[in-house]
Amino acid sequence: MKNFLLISTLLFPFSIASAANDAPKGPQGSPDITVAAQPESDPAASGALVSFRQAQTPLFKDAETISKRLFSRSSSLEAESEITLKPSPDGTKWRFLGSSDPSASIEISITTGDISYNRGFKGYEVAGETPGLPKGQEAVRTALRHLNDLNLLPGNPAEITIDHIGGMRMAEVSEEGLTSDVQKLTTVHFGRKIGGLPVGGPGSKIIVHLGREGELVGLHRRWTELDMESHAAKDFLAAPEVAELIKGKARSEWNSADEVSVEMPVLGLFDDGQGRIEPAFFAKVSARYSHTVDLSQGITVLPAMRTPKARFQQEEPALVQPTTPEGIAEDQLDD
Amino acid sequence: MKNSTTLAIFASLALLGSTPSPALAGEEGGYVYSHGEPRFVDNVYNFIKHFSYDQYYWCEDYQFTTSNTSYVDNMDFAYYSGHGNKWYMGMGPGTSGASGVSIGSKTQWGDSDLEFIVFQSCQVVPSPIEKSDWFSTWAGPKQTFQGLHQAIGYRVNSNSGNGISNNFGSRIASGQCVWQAWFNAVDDERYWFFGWSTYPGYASVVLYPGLDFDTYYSFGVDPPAGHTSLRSYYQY
Repeated sequence: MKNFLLISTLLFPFSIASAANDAPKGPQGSPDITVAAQPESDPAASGALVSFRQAQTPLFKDAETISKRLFSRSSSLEAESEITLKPSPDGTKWRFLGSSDPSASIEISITTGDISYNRGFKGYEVAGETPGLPKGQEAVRTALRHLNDLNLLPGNPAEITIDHIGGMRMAEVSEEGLTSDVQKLTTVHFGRKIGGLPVGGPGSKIIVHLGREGELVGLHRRWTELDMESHAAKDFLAAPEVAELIKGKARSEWNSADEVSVEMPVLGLFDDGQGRIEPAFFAKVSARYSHTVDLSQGITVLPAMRTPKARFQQEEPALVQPTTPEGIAEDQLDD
Repeated sequence: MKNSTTLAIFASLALLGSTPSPALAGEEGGYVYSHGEPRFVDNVYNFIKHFSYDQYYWCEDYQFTTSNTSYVDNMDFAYYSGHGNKWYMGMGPGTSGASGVSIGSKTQWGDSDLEFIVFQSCQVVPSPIEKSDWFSTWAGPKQTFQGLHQAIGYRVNSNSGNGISNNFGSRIASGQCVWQAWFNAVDDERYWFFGWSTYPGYASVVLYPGLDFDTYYSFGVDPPAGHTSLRSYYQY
């Protein structure tokens, strides 16, 4: 029970001290929860008795260099600008915002070196499909070429997986009722496998947006090089323990539903995007509601370590609760 | 002074090359699916905390419909989080009124103040993939875009309780373009796992053509009421 409470505290996107917990629950009360089955594998069975932590702290001069390199190789309006990085107000990022095109931006994490770059969208809002868009395997090759040229390929290329090739489209309807729907960007999503286990979470991925003639339009690189730490089998949950724990997690995360069903959890690794990767169980969740939408679906993640150090709760709990407006007139309640 | 006249003046100045100070920002409102999953509270709070926000309420249908000029359409930037569906916002189990609000003739926004609204919820902003008439409830003489600039969200199911709203709020407060900041914040969180549907979902926006580069501190002139032209950007 103690472990469960600890994991709950770290995991669930809610505030322990939140007034919401004292607020009236939905008319249906606590949801009925079913879990399809316990996972087929756990860290002991798979030999994944390890966790990982970020190996290096990024340097400012590297951030400055990569920022200049990114803009200088694009057709961005900012290509000729002086790229000067400034710290964000909370001190977590180095930042640049385009002066000619405020959709041009770069943000680099001071702690992890994560890069979120956008060349700027000026020139891409015009009618018609973007000329020379690479597609399919050509897009993958183009994306890898950009990463190689920028010296941004991961240290161990064998960890890279190609998870998805998609993009962004623009649809339009005119005053005359004419419609169009064209592709503006191609997007390649690279994921990560370590020791055969797929990595989920906000880290361990590289997303490349490609535009005109394969131009690099955007980049989201959250990928840290790692040091490995070994642990004992007793530090991890065993498969038979998972179903009950994930049931409790689903109960908290989908608490206004009538019914919640959880598919069989799957073992993987969770990258918290802040320098820690740990084994975790991932499961698809479906929730049914009578008082609002019919069906809601999502993913829930349960740490496999009994005392996780990775930050599974990604969102800060609210420090202030919403209120009900005062002085509601009777006619406002009619609809 | 925090009203849309001030913002319009500063928007005009911005077009002349002068950038207004973030200190002269507009009005922000947060609206939370009433007494449902606590992450919806966290989602909204982590956006509005970047501003000296003006409203932060549990959802009631009248805030979006009959009394919208005192609520969402009295704001410059509205942020909703809760369970959604195509063109539909759930109000939550704690609401005293209707259980949800459908986008369309009852949600006419922007004729008073509103420029930007975000739906951090599933499916509220469908693309042509989900709805061939994706524009129909947004644009038209008695539909939602009555001066509204951008409506932003997801075209599919989405996950929240992550870093998106804080990331997005920080980007907006820094002066980045509005819908592009949302797409960037969503991509910062994105992952695939065993080929399951993408986490946290695919972002989408509908906007009045020509207002593609609006920032919160520098945006174009309000579109005419009743227009029928609309543009959508969406991920896939």
